Amino acid sequence: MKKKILIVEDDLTIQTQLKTLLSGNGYETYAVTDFSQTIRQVKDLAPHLVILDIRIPDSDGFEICSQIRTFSDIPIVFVTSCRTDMDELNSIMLGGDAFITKPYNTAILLAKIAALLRRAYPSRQTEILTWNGAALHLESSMIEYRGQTSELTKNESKILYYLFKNAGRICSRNDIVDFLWDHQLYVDDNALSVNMTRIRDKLAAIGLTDFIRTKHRQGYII
Amino acid sequence: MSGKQYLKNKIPAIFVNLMGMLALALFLAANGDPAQTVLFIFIVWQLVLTAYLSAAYHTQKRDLDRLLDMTEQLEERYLISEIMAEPHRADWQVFHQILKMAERSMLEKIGGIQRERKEYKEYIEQWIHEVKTPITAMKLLCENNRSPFTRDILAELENIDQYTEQALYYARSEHTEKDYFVREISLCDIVHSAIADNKYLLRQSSMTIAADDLEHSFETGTYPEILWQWGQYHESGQRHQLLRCSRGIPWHYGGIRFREDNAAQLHFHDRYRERRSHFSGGDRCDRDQTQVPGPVPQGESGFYISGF
Repeated sequence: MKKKILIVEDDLTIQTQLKTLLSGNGYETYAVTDFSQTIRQVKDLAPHLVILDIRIPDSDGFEICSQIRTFSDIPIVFVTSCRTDMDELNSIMLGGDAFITKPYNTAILLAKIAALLRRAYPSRQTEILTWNGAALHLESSMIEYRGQTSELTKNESKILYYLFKNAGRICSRNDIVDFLWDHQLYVDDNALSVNMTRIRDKLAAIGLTDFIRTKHRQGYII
Repeated sequence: MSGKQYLKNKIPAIFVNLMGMLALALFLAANGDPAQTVLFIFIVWQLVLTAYLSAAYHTQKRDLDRLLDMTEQLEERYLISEIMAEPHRADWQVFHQILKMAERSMLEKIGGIQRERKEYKEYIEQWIHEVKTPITAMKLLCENNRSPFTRDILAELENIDQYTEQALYYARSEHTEKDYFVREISLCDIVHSAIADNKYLLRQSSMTIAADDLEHSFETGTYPEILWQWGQYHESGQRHQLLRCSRGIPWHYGGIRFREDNAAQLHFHDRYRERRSHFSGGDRCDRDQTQVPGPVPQGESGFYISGF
C-alpha cells in the first residue's frame, strides 16, 4: 500500500514539484490549498506523514503541529527557509520529527521521509524486486535466478536496485551515478564501468546473460 | 606632561615675578637698604616661587596622569567625561563641558550607525530567507526534470545557495548570544551532507571523493556547523577547485579529500572566521593548529577538515 503524504506548503511551484518528486518515489501525495482548513484535511485524509512549512498564510506551522499532536502521532517534517536555532528548538518541542531547511536536498528529504515512515509504521516485509525471473534481495544484498544466487557488494546492490526500479527504461550513467551519490556512495564514471562489468560477470555466473544491455551513448536498460 | 613643557607654559608668570623682583630691588636700593637685605629678599622670593611652581606641577601631573590612566583603561574612551571627577578649576570646567557635549554627539552618532547596521542585517537576513524559496522551487524543478542542462543549472544553484549561506552567516556573525543550541553532531552526517549540498559542483569538476574515518561525533552550538565555500582559483595555468570550511572541527576526527587529476599540491587552510565564531563546545585543544594536518600527497588538491 502506498503511503499518503500531505504537503502543507504555500508556494505553488514548490507544492507541485514536491508532489511530483514524492509521487515519483512511490508515495501518494496530497496538498493543502485552503490553509484555514488544514486540520480538517489532516483528520479527513489521515495521512501517514505531513510535510509542514512553518510560514503559511492564516496560521503558522508550529500552531498546526501542536493542533495535530492533540489527536495524532503521525510523523511531521518541518520545512522552512528560516533556519534559526529557535525555530528548530520550537519544532522539536512541539513534536516535530524532522527539521529540513530550504533549499531541500531532495535525496536527504526522501531519506528522512523514508526513515520516519519506516520507524512509524514498521513492516516485516522484506523488499524483493523482481524482473524477468531475476529477484534482487535487498536485505541480504543478493541476486537470485532459477535457484542460483550471487552475493553483491553495496555498490553493485545499489546499481541493480536503481536498474530494477527503472526496469524497462533506459538509465543514463549520469542518473546512476547521481543515485549512488545520493546514497553516499561516491562512485565516479570509471568506477561505475568497473562495477557494471563485475555485475555482468556475477549475473552471467547465475545464468543471466545479457540481462543488462548497453544502449550506446544513452545508458543501461534491463 | 613634562617639567620642561610646564615651565615653558609658566614663562609669563616667571617673567612677571622676575620683573617684580627687579622693581623691588631698585626700590630698596633707592631707599638706601644694604645689598645683603636686597639679596636676602631676592633669595626668599625665588625659593617661594620655586616651591609654588614645583608643588603646582606635581599636583597637576598627578591629576593628569590619573586621568590618562583611566582613559587608557576604558574600553569606550569617549565616555571619559562620565567617569572623571567634576573639576574645580574654571578652565577645566569648560573643557569638561566640551567633553560632555562631544560624548553626547558621539553616542548619538554611534546609536544611529548601530540602528542602521541592525536594520540592514535584518533586511539581508529576511531577503536571504525569501530568496531561498525560489531557489528551492528551481532545484525541485531541475531535480524532477534531470538532463545535462538541468545538471548545469543545479550546479549553479548550489553555488547560489552557498553565497546566500555565506551572506546569512556574516549577517548573523554578531549575534553569537543566540548560539545556545548545543548538541552532539556526527562528523559523518556533516561530511555527507556537505558532499550532498555540493554534489553537482563536485561531479562537474570530476572530483573523486575519499571519505574515511568519519565515525566520530562532537558537540557544537554554532550555526551553521560548517560554512562550506566552493571556490576555484588559477595558479601556474591550472585551475584548482576546492571545497573549504571555515568553521572548526578538530582535524584528528578525520577528513575528506577531493582529488583532481593533474592538480598541483595544494595546502589550504582557512582561519578567516573561526576566531570570531565563538565555537561553544567540543575539543578546543587543537584550535591553535596553524598547519594543514599531515602532508598533502602530490597530485591531490582539495579540502581538509582541519583543527583550529
